[in-house]
Amino acid sequence: MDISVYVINGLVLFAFIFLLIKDRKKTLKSLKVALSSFISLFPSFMILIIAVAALFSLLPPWFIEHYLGSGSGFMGVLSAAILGSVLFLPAIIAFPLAGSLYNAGATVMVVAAFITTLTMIGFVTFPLEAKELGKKFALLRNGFSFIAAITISIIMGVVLK
Amino acid sequence: MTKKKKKLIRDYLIMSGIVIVFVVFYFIFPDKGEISLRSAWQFFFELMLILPAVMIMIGILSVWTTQEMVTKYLGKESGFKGFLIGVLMGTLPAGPLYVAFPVAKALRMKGASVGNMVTYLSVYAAIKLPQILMELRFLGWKFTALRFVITVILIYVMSLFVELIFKKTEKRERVILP
Repeated sequence: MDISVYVINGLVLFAFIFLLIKDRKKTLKSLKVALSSFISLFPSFMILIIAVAALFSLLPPWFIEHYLGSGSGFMGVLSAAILGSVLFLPAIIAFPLAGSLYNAGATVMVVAAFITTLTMIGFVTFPLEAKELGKKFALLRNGFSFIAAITISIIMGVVLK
Repeated sequence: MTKKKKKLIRDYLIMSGIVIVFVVFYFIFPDKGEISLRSAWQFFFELMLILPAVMIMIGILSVWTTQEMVTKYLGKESGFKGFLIGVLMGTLPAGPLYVAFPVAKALRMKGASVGNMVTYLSVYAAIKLPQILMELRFLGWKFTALRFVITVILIYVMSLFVELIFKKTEKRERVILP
């Protein structure tokens, strides 16, 4: 088993016990929030699991390698970034998805571009952002985020070669 | 609440539909079904190893960090110190990005700089704590650490740029803050 499992569970357990001693009532309330967010996210996880498993068994092995792997070049990064900007997916779900794409042969650049745009850019929520914070702010933030995402993915691709 | 419940019921219905499709698929193509069932099970198992922890983290963060806290600490700070506080405040909350828009608006009303708003929103979006836990698990510590560092640096650059643009144009427009 991966060491990250121990690190993550250990860290959360430590934080939980620490806070439990500090404020019992508040911390127990956070368990309630945890349960309700689990219940509301569970269907998305199940759909993701089934979709990924079915898709990966149906797609020929070269498919991901060709469109998202080292053969895809800059077009692969660009399409991953655009896809990530347009999709409206809970970020928590995005990481297992990105992980399985990565294991199936997608490059570091493609994966980094996808999750960075997915989390930072909200195409669907743009009207809401413009309404709350102004059109100019929303345009600038999303525009710069796209440039940042491409830059992040290029640097990561170079460093993690 | 009722709207939330409706969405929940809809989500579970969609999930059941997909499970049924998967079962039908399994019986029509037993060999492909076998492979995908095995990988689905493995995926499920991997998720369940950390999902409870991540959910508890989300619960802890959403109970312990409040909007008041964010506006209190980030409202008056500016410059590089403001940026660092923005990073800290951005990594702590849990929830989708659109939940943070009203918080950013409140920040602005408290007099926070545009740069701080960009920092807070961007960090909130890209590198908040529950997401980092998932990233660590599914993409490894090297990927996570590198993306974190580069993202923080670029968010700093971005906040400077957006603030500069706002300063330049606001002088012309004389936009009055609410």
